[in-house]
Amino acid sequence: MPLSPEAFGRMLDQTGLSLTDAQKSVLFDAYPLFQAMLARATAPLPREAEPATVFVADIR
Amino acid sequence: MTEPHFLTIAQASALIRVKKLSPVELTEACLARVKRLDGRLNSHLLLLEEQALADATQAEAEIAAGDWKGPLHGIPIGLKDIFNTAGIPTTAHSALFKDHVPAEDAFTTGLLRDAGAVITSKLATWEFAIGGSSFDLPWPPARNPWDVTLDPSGSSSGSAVAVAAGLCLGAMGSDTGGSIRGPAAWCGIAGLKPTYGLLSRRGLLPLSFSLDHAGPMCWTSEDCALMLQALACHDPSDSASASFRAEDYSAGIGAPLSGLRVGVVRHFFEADLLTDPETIAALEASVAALADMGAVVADVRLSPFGVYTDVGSLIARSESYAIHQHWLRTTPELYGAFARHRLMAGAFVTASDYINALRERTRLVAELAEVMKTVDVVIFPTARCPARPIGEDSMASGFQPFFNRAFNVTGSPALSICNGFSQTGLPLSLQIGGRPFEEALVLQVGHALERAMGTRARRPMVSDK
Repeated sequence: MPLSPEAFGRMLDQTGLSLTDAQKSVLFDAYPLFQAMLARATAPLPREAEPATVFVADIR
Repeated sequence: MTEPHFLTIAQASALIRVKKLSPVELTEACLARVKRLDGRLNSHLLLLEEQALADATQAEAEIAAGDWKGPLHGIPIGLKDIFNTAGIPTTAHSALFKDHVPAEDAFTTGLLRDAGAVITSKLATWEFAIGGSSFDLPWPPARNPWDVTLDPSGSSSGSAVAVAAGLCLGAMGSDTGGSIRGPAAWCGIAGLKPTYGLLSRRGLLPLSFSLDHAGPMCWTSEDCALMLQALACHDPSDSASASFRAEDYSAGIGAPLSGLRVGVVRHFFEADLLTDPETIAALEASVAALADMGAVVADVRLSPFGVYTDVGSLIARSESYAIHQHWLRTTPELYGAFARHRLMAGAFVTASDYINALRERTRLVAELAEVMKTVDVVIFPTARCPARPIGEDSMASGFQPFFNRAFNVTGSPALSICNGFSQTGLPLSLQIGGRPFEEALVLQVGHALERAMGTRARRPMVSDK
Protein backbone atom coordinates (compact mmCIF):
# COMPACT_ATOMS: atom_id res chain seq x y z
CA MET A 1 0.00 0.00 0.00
CA PRO A 2 1.42 3.46 -0.88
CA LEU A 3 2.77 5.42 2.05
CA SER A 4 1.17 8.82 2.74
CA PRO A 5 3.44 11.90 2.97
CA GLU A 6 2.44 12.21 6.63
CA ALA A 7 3.40 8.62 7.45
CA PHE A 8 6.65 9.04 5.54
CA GLY A 9 7.34 12.22 7.51
CA ARG A 10 6.83 10.40 10.81
CA MET A 11 9.19 7.63 9.67
CA LEU A 12 11.75 10.23 8.64
CA ASP A 13 11.53 11.93 12.03
CA GLN A 14 12.53 8.66 13.69
CA THR A 15 15.79 8.52 11.70
CA GLY A 16 17.12 11.71 13.26
CA LEU A 17 18.03 13.12 9.84
CA SER A 18 17.57 16.84 9.22
CA LEU A 19 16.48 17.24 5.63
CA THR A 20 15.34 20.09 3.47
CA ASP A 21 11.93 19.82 1.83
CA ALA A 22 13.63 19.11 -1.51
CA GLN A 23 15.66 16.27 -0.01
CA LYS A 24 12.56 14.82 1.66
CA SER A 25 10.75 14.97 -1.65
CA VAL A 26 13.48 13.01 -3.47
CA LEU A 27 13.41 10.27 -0.82
CA PHE A 28 9.61 10.15 -0.78
CA ASP A 29 9.48 9.79 -4.57
CA ALA A 30 12.02 6.92 -4.47
CA TYR A 31 10.37 5.16 -1.52
CA PRO A 32 7.99 2.96 -3.58
CA LEU A 33 11.00 1.48 -5.42
CA PHE A 34 12.60 0.85 -2.05
CA GLN A 35 9.45 -0.78 -0.64
CA ALA A 36 9.33 -3.12 -3.63
CA MET A 37 12.98 -4.02 -3.13
CA LEU A 38 12.35 -4.77 0.56
CA ALA A 39 9.48 -7.06 -0.31
CA ARG A 40 11.48 -9.00 -2.89
CA ALA A 41 14.62 -9.34 -0.76
CA THR A 42 12.89 -10.62 2.35
CA ALA A 43 10.80 -13.48 1.01
CA PRO A 44 9.63 -15.95 3.67
CA LEU A 45 12.21 -18.60 4.54
CA PRO A 46 12.09 -21.62 6.86
CA ARG A 47 12.29 -20.60 10.50
CA GLU A 48 15.71 -22.24 10.89
CA ALA A 49 17.30 -20.47 7.90
CA GLU A 50 20.51 -18.80 9.10
CA PRO A 51 21.82 -15.37 8.05
CA ALA A 52 25.09 -15.13 6.16
CA THR A 53 27.92 -13.89 8.32
CA VAL A 54 30.97 -11.86 7.45
CA PHE A 55 33.51 -14.45 8.56
CA VAL A 56 33.79 -18.22 8.64
CA ALA A 57 35.55 -19.44 11.75
CA ASP A 58 36.94 -22.67 10.29
CA ILE A 59 39.18 -20.88 7.78
CA ARG A 60 41.07 -18.96 10.48
CA MET B 1 57.50 -0.97 -30.47
CA THR B 2 54.14 -0.01 -28.93
CA GLU B 3 54.26 3.40 -27.26
CA PRO B 4 55.35 2.84 -23.62
CA HIS B 5 52.08 4.04 -22.08
CA PHE B 6 50.12 1.50 -24.16
CA LEU B 7 52.24 -1.50 -23.18
CA THR B 8 50.56 -4.08 -20.99
CA ILE B 9 52.13 -4.79 -17.62
CA ALA B 10 53.36 -8.14 -18.95
CA GLN B 11 55.02 -6.48 -21.96
CA ALA B 12 56.54 -3.58 -20.02
CA SER B 13 57.77 -5.84 -17.27
CA ALA B 14 59.53 -8.15 -19.72
CA LEU B 15 61.29 -5.16 -21.30
CA ILE B 16 62.20 -3.64 -17.93
CA ARG B 17 63.66 -6.90 -16.70
CA VAL B 18 66.08 -7.10 -19.62
CA LYS B 19 66.78 -3.34 -19.36
CA LYS B 20 65.25 -2.48 -22.73
CA LEU B 21 62.76 -0.15 -21.07
CA SER B 22 63.55 2.25 -18.27
CA PRO B 23 61.00 2.59 -15.42
CA VAL B 24 61.79 6.32 -15.45
CA GLU B 25 61.04 6.58 -19.18
CA LEU B 26 57.80 4.62 -18.71
CA THR B 27 56.70 6.71 -15.74
CA GLU B 28 57.52 9.95 -17.54
CA ALA B 29 55.45 8.79 -20.53
CA CYS B 30 52.43 8.17 -18.30
CA LEU B 31 52.83 11.44 -16.38
CA ALA B 32 53.12 13.42 -19.62
CA ARG B 33 49.98 11.77 -20.92
CA VAL B 34 48.07 12.65 -17.76
CA LYS B 35 49.10 16.29 -18.13
CA ARG B 36 48.10 16.33 -21.79
CA LEU B 37 44.79 14.47 -21.65
CA ASP B 38 43.34 14.44 -18.17
CA GLY B 39 41.88 17.92 -18.49
CA ARG B 40 39.24 16.19 -20.63
CA LEU B 41 39.04 12.89 -18.76
CA ASN B 42 39.09 14.04 -15.10
CA SER B 43 40.39 10.65 -13.98
CA HIS B 44 43.00 12.06 -11.59
CA LEU B 45 42.32 13.76 -8.27
CA LEU B 46 46.01 13.93 -7.40
CA LEU B 47 49.11 13.31 -9.54
CA LEU B 48 52.03 12.19 -7.38
CA GLU B 49 54.64 13.34 -9.89
CA GLU B 50 57.63 13.99 -7.67
CA GLN B 51 57.27 10.83 -5.60
CA ALA B 52 56.52 8.69 -8.67
CA LEU B 53 59.67 9.85 -10.44
CA ALA B 54 61.72 9.23 -7.30
CA ASP B 55 60.27 5.72 -6.98
CA ALA B 56 60.87 5.01 -10.68
CA THR B 57 64.48 6.17 -10.34
CA GLN B 58 64.94 3.89 -7.35
CA ALA B 59 63.37 0.96 -9.22
CA GLU B 60 65.71 1.55 -12.13
CA ALA B 61 68.74 1.51 -9.82
CA GLU B 62 67.57 -1.66 -8.07
CA ILE B 63 67.01 -3.49 -11.34
CA ALA B 64 70.38 -2.32 -12.68
CA ALA B 65 71.93 -3.77 -9.52
CA GLY B 66 70.26 -7.14 -10.20
CA ASP B 67 67.51 -6.76 -7.59
CA TRP B 68 64.41 -7.31 -9.75
CA LYS B 69 61.41 -7.66 -7.43
CA GLY B 70 58.91 -9.11 -9.89
CA PRO B 71 56.49 -8.14 -12.66
CA LEU B 72 55.27 -4.93 -10.97
CA HIS B 73 58.76 -3.52 -10.39
CA GLY B 74 58.90 -0.09 -12.03
CA ILE B 75 55.29 -0.26 -13.32
CA PRO B 76 53.08 2.89 -12.97
CA ILE B 77 49.97 2.06 -10.95
CA GLY B 78 47.08 4.33 -9.87
CA LEU B 79 44.88 4.01 -6.78
CA LYS B 80 41.18 4.70 -6.48
CA ASP B 81 40.99 7.49 -3.93
CA ILE B 82 39.50 5.35 -1.21
CA PHE B 83 42.80 3.44 -0.74
CA ASN B 84 44.68 5.05 2.13
CA THR B 85 48.12 6.46 1.35
CA ALA B 86 50.36 7.50 4.25
CA GLY B 87 50.83 11.26 4.34
CA ILE B 88 48.90 11.72 1.08
CA PRO B 89 45.26 12.90 0.94
CA THR B 90 42.63 10.17 0.55
CA THR B 91 39.41 12.00 -0.16
CA ALA B 92 36.81 9.48 -1.39
CA HIS B 93 36.07 12.26 -3.93
CA SER B 94 34.05 14.01 -1.19
CA ALA B 95 34.04 17.44 0.44
CA LEU B 96 33.57 15.56 3.70
CA PHE B 97 37.05 13.98 3.38
CA LYS B 98 38.74 16.78 1.41
CA ASP B 99 41.42 17.24 4.09
CA HIS B 100 41.71 13.61 5.17
CA VAL B 101 45.37 12.55 5.27
CA PRO B 102 45.84 8.99 6.59
CA ALA B 103 48.83 8.08 8.73
CA GLU B 104 49.24 4.63 7.16
CA ASP B 105 48.99 2.98 3.77
CA ALA B 106 46.17 0.55 3.06
CA PHE B 107 47.48 -3.01 3.35
CA THR B 108 47.20 -3.47 -0.42
CA THR B 109 48.95 -0.13 -1.09
CA GLY B 110 51.85 -1.42 1.00
CA LEU B 111 51.94 -4.70 -0.93
CA LEU B 112 52.16 -2.79 -4.22
CA ARG B 113 55.04 -0.70 -2.89
CA ASP B 114 56.78 -3.88 -1.65
CA ALA B 115 56.44 -5.30 -5.17
CA GLY B 116 58.24 -2.24 -6.55
CA ALA B 117 55.22 -0.62 -8.20
CA VAL B 118 55.40 3.11 -8.88
CA ILE B 119 52.30 4.73 -7.36
CA THR B 120 51.52 7.60 -9.71
CA SER B 121 48.11 8.87 -8.71
CA LYS B 122 44.98 9.02 -6.61
CA LEU B 123 42.08 8.45 -8.96
CA ALA B 124 38.50 9.69 -9.24
CA THR B 125 35.70 7.63 -7.74
CA TRP B 126 32.01 8.01 -7.20
CA GLU B 127 31.71 9.78 -3.84
CA PHE B 128 32.45 7.24 -1.08
CA ALA B 129 32.24 4.58 -3.82
CA ILE B 130 28.46 4.95 -4.00
CA GLY B 131 27.40 8.37 -5.30
CA GLY B 132 27.35 8.42 -9.08
CA SER B 133 28.97 10.60 -11.75
CA SER B 134 28.17 13.79 -9.84
CA PHE B 135 28.70 17.43 -10.76
CA ASP B 136 28.21 18.85 -7.24
CA LEU B 137 31.48 17.64 -5.68
CA PRO B 138 34.86 19.40 -5.21
CA TRP B 139 36.17 17.59 -8.34
CA PRO B 140 34.34 16.86 -11.61
CA PRO B 141 33.39 13.27 -12.49
CA ALA B 142 35.66 11.14 -14.68
CA ARG B 143 34.61 10.84 -18.32
CA ASN B 144 34.63 7.87 -20.67
CA PRO B 145 37.76 7.87 -22.88
CA TRP B 146 35.87 6.28 -25.79
CA ASP B 147 33.52 9.31 -25.88
CA VAL B 148 33.84 12.02 -23.25
CA THR B 149 30.12 12.75 -23.35
CA LEU B 150 29.53 9.27 -21.93
CA ASP B 151 29.65 7.90 -18.40
CA PRO B 152 32.60 5.62 -17.56
CA SER B 153 30.38 4.09 -14.83
CA GLY B 154 31.71 3.59 -11.35
CA SER B 155 32.43 3.65 -8.68
CA SER B 156 36.04 2.89 -9.72
CA SER B 157 35.60 5.38 -12.56
CA GLY B 158 39.01 7.05 -12.55
CA SER B 159 40.78 3.67 -12.37
CA ALA B 160 39.05 2.36 -15.49
CA VAL B 161 39.47 5.61 -17.42
CA ALA B 162 43.16 5.94 -16.54
CA VAL B 163 44.00 2.36 -17.57
CA ALA B 164 42.00 2.51 -20.82
CA ALA B 165 43.56 5.83 -21.83
CA GLY B 166 47.12 4.73 -21.05
CA LEU B 167 47.62 7.09 -18.11
CA CYS B 168 48.88 4.21 -15.97
CA LEU B 169 49.31 0.49 -16.70
CA GLY B 170 47.19 -0.84 -13.85
CA ALA B 171 44.99 0.48 -11.09
CA MET B 172 43.28 -0.56 -7.89
CA GLY B 173 39.52 -0.53 -7.69
CA SER B 174 36.93 -1.65 -5.18
CA ASP B 175 33.70 -3.53 -5.80
CA THR B 176 30.70 -3.60 -3.44
CA GLY B 177 27.96 -3.96 -6.04
CA GLY B 178 29.97 -4.06 -9.27
CA SER B 179 32.25 -1.05 -8.91
CA ILE B 180 35.24 -2.74 -10.55
CA ARG B 181 33.37 -4.64 -13.25
CA GLY B 182 30.95 -1.88 -14.30
CA PRO B 183 33.56 0.72 -15.22
CA ALA B 184 35.81 -2.02 -16.62
CA ALA B 185 32.95 -2.95 -18.97
CA TRP B 186 32.10 0.55 -20.14
CA CYS B 187 35.76 1.55 -20.54
CA GLY B 188 36.78 -1.68 -22.31
CA ILE B 189 39.34 -3.05 -19.86
CA ALA B 190 39.66 -6.13 -17.62
CA GLY B 191 38.56 -5.87 -14.00
CA LEU B 192 38.67 -8.63 -11.40
CA LYS B 193 36.55 -8.80 -8.27
CA PRO B 194 38.36 -11.53 -6.35
CA THR B 195 36.85 -13.92 -3.81
CA TYR B 196 35.69 -12.15 -0.63
CA GLY B 197 38.58 -12.42 1.82
CA LEU B 198 41.35 -12.95 -0.75
CA LEU B 199 42.48 -9.29 -0.68
CA SER B 200 42.65 -7.27 2.51
CA ARG B 201 40.15 -4.45 2.96
CA ARG B 202 42.26 -2.76 5.66
CA GLY B 203 42.86 0.87 4.84
CA LEU B 204 40.07 1.14 2.27
CA LEU B 205 37.36 3.58 3.26
CA PRO B 206 34.55 1.10 3.91
CA LEU B 207 31.16 1.15 2.23
CA SER B 208 29.61 -2.20 3.15
CA PHE B 209 31.61 -4.51 5.39
CA SER B 210 30.34 -7.82 4.06
CA LEU B 211 30.27 -6.83 0.38
CA ASP B 212 33.44 -4.72 -0.09
CA HIS B 213 36.17 -6.23 -2.27
CA ALA B 214 39.45 -4.72 -3.50
CA GLY B 215 40.73 -5.79 -6.90
CA PRO B 216 42.96 -5.06 -9.90
CA MET B 217 41.91 -3.22 -13.07
CA CYS B 218 44.17 -3.60 -16.13
CA TRP B 219 44.10 -3.67 -19.90
CA THR B 220 44.22 -7.50 -19.95
CA SER B 221 43.30 -10.49 -17.83
CA GLU B 222 46.96 -11.49 -17.86
CA ASP B 223 47.86 -8.18 -16.20
CA CYS B 224 45.14 -8.71 -13.59
CA ALA B 225 46.81 -12.02 -12.76
CA LEU B 226 50.18 -10.30 -12.34
CA MET B 227 48.71 -7.67 -10.01
CA LEU B 228 46.73 -10.27 -8.08
CA GLN B 229 49.95 -12.20 -7.41
CA ALA B 230 51.32 -9.24 -5.46
CA LEU B 231 48.03 -8.46 -3.71
CA ALA B 232 46.71 -11.83 -2.51
CA CYS B 233 48.05 -12.09 1.01
CA HIS B 234 46.46 -12.97 4.34
CA ASP B 235 46.09 -9.93 6.58
CA PRO B 236 45.60 -10.87 10.24
CA SER B 237 44.31 -7.36 10.96
CA ASP B 238 41.37 -7.71 8.55
CA SER B 239 38.68 -9.82 10.23
CA ALA B 240 37.45 -11.07 6.85
CA SER B 241 40.86 -11.93 5.42
CA ALA B 242 40.96 -15.62 4.57
CA SER B 243 43.75 -18.07 5.16
CA PHE B 244 44.52 -19.66 1.82
CA ARG B 245 47.30 -21.39 -0.07
CA ALA B 246 49.25 -19.01 -2.28
CA GLU B 247 49.09 -20.06 -5.91
CA ASP B 248 50.35 -18.94 -9.29
CA TYR B 249 47.50 -16.83 -10.71
CA SER B 250 49.20 -16.74 -14.13
CA ALA B 251 49.50 -20.52 -14.30
CA GLY B 252 46.56 -20.87 -16.68
CA ILE B 253 47.42 -17.94 -18.94
CA GLY B 254 47.73 -19.40 -22.44
CA ALA B 255 46.73 -22.91 -21.37
CA PRO B 256 44.10 -24.76 -23.47
CA LEU B 257 40.43 -24.79 -22.46
CA SER B 258 39.60 -28.24 -23.79
CA GLY B 259 37.11 -30.00 -21.54
CA LEU B 260 36.32 -26.87 -19.54
CA ARG B 261 32.64 -26.83 -18.48
CA VAL B 262 31.06 -23.43 -19.10
CA GLY B 263 27.58 -22.49 -17.89
CA VAL B 264 25.69 -19.67 -19.62
CA VAL B 265 23.28 -17.91 -17.25
CA ARG B 266 20.97 -17.22 -20.15
CA HIS B 267 17.91 -16.14 -18.18
CA PHE B 268 19.82 -13.16 -16.74
CA PHE B 269 19.99 -11.45 -20.16
CA GLU B 270 17.09 -13.12 -21.99
CA ALA B 271 14.39 -12.88 -19.31
CA ASP B 272 15.49 -10.97 -16.20
CA LEU B 273 16.87 -7.71 -17.67
CA LEU B 274 16.22 -6.57 -21.23
CA THR B 275 19.63 -6.57 -22.90
CA ASP B 276 21.01 -4.78 -25.93
CA PRO B 277 21.17 -7.02 -29.08
CA GLU B 278 24.82 -6.17 -29.79
CA THR B 279 25.75 -7.29 -26.26
CA ILE B 280 23.91 -10.57 -26.77
CA ALA B 281 25.54 -11.07 -30.17
CA ALA B 282 28.98 -10.56 -28.62
CA LEU B 283 28.11 -13.08 -25.91
CA GLU B 284 27.01 -15.64 -28.52
CA ALA B 285 30.26 -15.07 -30.43
CA SER B 286 32.15 -15.68 -27.20
CA VAL B 287 30.20 -18.88 -26.60
CA ALA B 288 31.12 -20.05 -30.12
CA ALA B 289 34.76 -19.19 -29.48
CA LEU B 290 34.76 -21.19 -26.24
CA ALA B 291 33.26 -24.18 -28.05
CA ASP B 292 35.91 -23.85 -30.78
CA MET B 293 38.56 -23.98 -28.05
CA GLY B 294 37.14 -27.28 -26.79
CA ALA B 295 34.98 -26.05 -23.92
CA VAL B 296 31.68 -27.77 -23.20
CA VAL B 297 29.00 -25.09 -23.02
CA ALA B 298 25.52 -25.50 -21.52
CA ASP B 299 22.87 -23.23 -20.04
CA VAL B 300 22.51 -23.06 -16.26
CA ARG B 301 19.86 -21.53 -14.04
CA LEU B 302 20.22 -19.37 -10.92
CA SER B 303 17.70 -17.23 -9.03
CA PRO B 304 16.32 -14.31 -11.06
CA PHE B 305 18.88 -11.54 -11.26
CA GLY B 306 16.55 -9.13 -9.46
CA VAL B 307 16.78 -11.21 -6.29
CA TYR B 308 20.56 -10.73 -6.20
CA THR B 309 20.13 -7.01 -6.83
CA ASP B 310 17.58 -6.56 -4.08
CA VAL B 311 19.42 -8.65 -1.49
CA GLY B 312 22.74 -6.97 -2.29
CA SER B 313 21.24 -3.49 -2.26
CA LEU B 314 19.46 -4.02 1.02
CA ILE B 315 22.57 -5.32 2.76
CA ALA B 316 24.72 -2.56 1.25
CA ARG B 317 22.23 0.16 2.23
CA SER B 318 22.09 -1.09 5.83
CA GLU B 319 25.84 -1.45 6.29
CA SER B 320 26.71 1.83 4.56
CA TYR B 321 24.13 3.71 6.63
CA ALA B 322 25.74 2.35 9.79
CA ILE B 323 29.04 3.85 8.60
CA HIS B 324 27.65 7.21 7.47
CA GLN B 325 24.81 7.81 9.94
CA HIS B 326 26.73 10.29 12.09
CA TRP B 327 27.80 12.47 9.14
CA LEU B 328 24.39 12.25 7.49
CA ARG B 329 22.86 13.60 10.67
CA THR B 330 25.44 16.29 11.38
CA THR B 331 26.83 17.46 8.03
CA PRO B 332 24.51 16.25 5.25
CA GLU B 333 25.38 19.33 3.18
CA LEU B 334 28.93 17.99 2.68
CA TYR B 335 27.66 15.10 0.55
CA GLY B 336 26.74 15.37 -3.10
CA ALA B 337 23.09 14.69 -3.84
CA PHE B 338 23.59 11.24 -5.41
CA ALA B 339 25.58 9.84 -2.45
CA ARG B 340 23.33 11.49 0.12
CA HIS B 341 20.18 10.00 -1.40
CA ARG B 342 21.64 6.52 -1.76
CA LEU B 343 23.09 6.49 1.74
CA MET B 344 19.98 7.91 3.41
CA ALA B 345 17.87 5.09 1.98
CA GLY B 346 19.54 2.87 4.57
CA ALA B 347 17.76 4.78 7.33
CA PHE B 348 14.53 3.02 6.38
CA VAL B 349 15.81 -0.57 6.64
CA THR B 350 14.77 -2.30 9.85
CA ALA B 351 16.97 -4.79 11.69
CA SER B 352 14.66 -7.65 10.71
CA ASP B 353 14.77 -6.60 7.02
CA TYR B 354 18.57 -6.68 7.16
CA ILE B 355 18.70 -10.08 8.88
CA ASN B 356 16.17 -11.53 6.46
CA ALA B 357 18.26 -10.29 3.52
CA LEU B 358 21.26 -12.04 5.09
CA ARG B 359 19.22 -15.23 5.38
CA GLU B 360 18.28 -14.99 1.71
CA ARG B 361 21.97 -14.44 0.98
CA THR B 362 22.79 -17.79 2.61
CA ARG B 363 20.30 -19.46 0.28
CA LEU B 364 21.81 -17.74 -2.78
CA VAL B 365 25.34 -18.80 -1.80
CA ALA B 366 24.21 -22.41 -1.46
CA GLU B 367 22.33 -22.29 -4.76
CA LEU B 368 25.38 -21.03 -6.66
CA ALA B 369 27.59 -23.65 -4.99
CA GLU B 370 25.28 -26.40 -6.27
CA VAL B 371 25.36 -25.01 -9.82
CA MET B 372 29.15 -24.70 -9.67
CA LYS B 373 29.36 -28.47 -9.05
CA THR B 374 28.11 -28.95 -12.60
CA VAL B 375 30.27 -26.34 -14.38
CA ASP B 376 33.73 -24.81 -13.88
CA VAL B 377 32.79 -21.21 -14.72
CA VAL B 378 29.63 -19.32 -15.59
CA ILE B 379 29.34 -16.50 -18.11
CA PHE B 380 26.89 -13.68 -18.81
CA PRO B 381 27.27 -10.04 -19.93
CA THR B 382 28.75 -7.53 -17.49
CA ALA B 383 26.77 -4.59 -18.86
CA ARG B 384 23.41 -4.95 -20.61
CA CYS B 385 24.28 -2.05 -22.95
CA PRO B 386 27.30 0.07 -23.93
CA ALA B 387 28.12 3.26 -22.05
CA ARG B 388 25.31 5.81 -21.57
CA PRO B 389 25.38 9.63 -21.31
CA ILE B 390 27.04 11.05 -18.22
CA GLY B 391 24.87 12.65 -15.54
CA GLU B 392 21.92 10.25 -15.52
CA ASP B 393 20.60 9.41 -12.04
CA SER B 394 19.95 5.67 -12.01
CA MET B 395 18.34 5.90 -8.55
CA ALA B 396 15.62 8.18 -9.84
CA SER B 397 15.04 6.18 -13.04
CA GLY B 398 15.48 2.73 -11.49
CA PHE B 399 17.59 1.74 -14.53
CA GLN B 400 20.03 -1.07 -13.71
CA PRO B 401 22.78 -1.27 -16.37
CA PHE B 402 24.85 -4.16 -15.00
CA PHE B 403 24.69 -7.87 -14.11
CA ASN B 404 27.10 -7.54 -11.20
CA ARG B 405 25.45 -8.07 -7.84
CA ALA B 406 25.30 -11.86 -7.97
CA PHE B 407 29.00 -12.29 -7.29
CA ASN B 408 29.11 -9.68 -4.53
CA VAL B 409 26.26 -11.37 -2.70
CA THR B 410 27.89 -14.79 -3.01
CA GLY B 411 31.48 -13.57 -2.57
CA SER B 412 32.74 -15.64 -5.51
CA PRO B 413 35.31 -14.32 -8.01
CA ALA B 414 34.15 -12.56 -11.18
CA LEU B 415 36.09 -11.01 -14.02
CA SER B 416 34.83 -8.53 -16.62
CA ILE B 417 36.54 -8.50 -20.00
CA CYS B 418 36.00 -6.65 -23.26
CA ASN B 419 34.60 -9.13 -25.80
CA GLY B 420 33.69 -6.84 -28.69
CA PHE B 421 32.65 -3.40 -29.85
CA SER B 422 29.32 -1.88 -30.79
CA GLN B 423 28.72 -0.45 -34.25
CA THR B 424 29.36 2.95 -32.72
CA GLY B 425 32.78 1.79 -31.50
CA LEU B 426 31.97 1.38 -27.81
CA PRO B 427 33.26 -1.58 -25.77
CA LEU B 428 30.99 -4.55 -25.06
CA SER B 429 31.59 -6.82 -22.11
CA LEU B 430 31.45 -10.35 -20.76
CA GLN B 431 31.60 -11.55 -17.17
CA ILE B 432 33.21 -14.81 -16.06
CA GLY B 433 32.34 -16.12 -12.62
CA GLY B 434 34.08 -18.94 -10.79
CA ARG B 435 34.19 -20.96 -7.59
CA PRO B 436 35.67 -19.31 -4.47
CA PHE B 437 39.47 -18.95 -4.69
CA GLU B 438 39.57 -20.19 -8.31
CA GLU B 439 40.78 -16.86 -9.71
CA ALA B 440 43.46 -18.57 -11.78
CA LEU B 441 40.82 -20.43 -13.82
CA VAL B 442 38.65 -17.33 -14.27
CA LEU B 443 41.68 -15.38 -15.50
CA GLN B 444 42.66 -18.25 -17.82
CA VAL B 445 39.24 -18.10 -19.49
CA GLY B 446 39.38 -14.31 -19.66
CA HIS B 447 42.76 -14.37 -21.36
CA ALA B 448 41.68 -17.02 -23.86
CA LEU B 449 38.58 -15.03 -24.81
CA GLU B 450 40.47 -11.74 -25.14
CA ARG B 451 42.76 -13.50 -27.60
CA ALA B 452 39.94 -15.21 -29.46
CA MET B 453 37.81 -12.07 -29.76
CA GLY B 454 40.79 -9.90 -30.74
CA THR B 455 39.73 -6.92 -28.67
CA ARG B 456 43.03 -5.89 -27.10
CA ALA B 457 44.52 -4.15 -30.14
CA ARG B 458 42.04 -1.26 -30.13
CA ARG B 459 42.54 1.66 -27.71
CA PRO B 460 40.37 4.76 -27.27
CA MET B 461 41.54 7.78 -29.24
CA VAL B 462 41.56 10.65 -26.77
CA SER B 463 42.09 14.15 -28.10
CA ASP B 464 43.56 16.90 -25.92
CA LYS B 465 41.17 19.44 -27.44
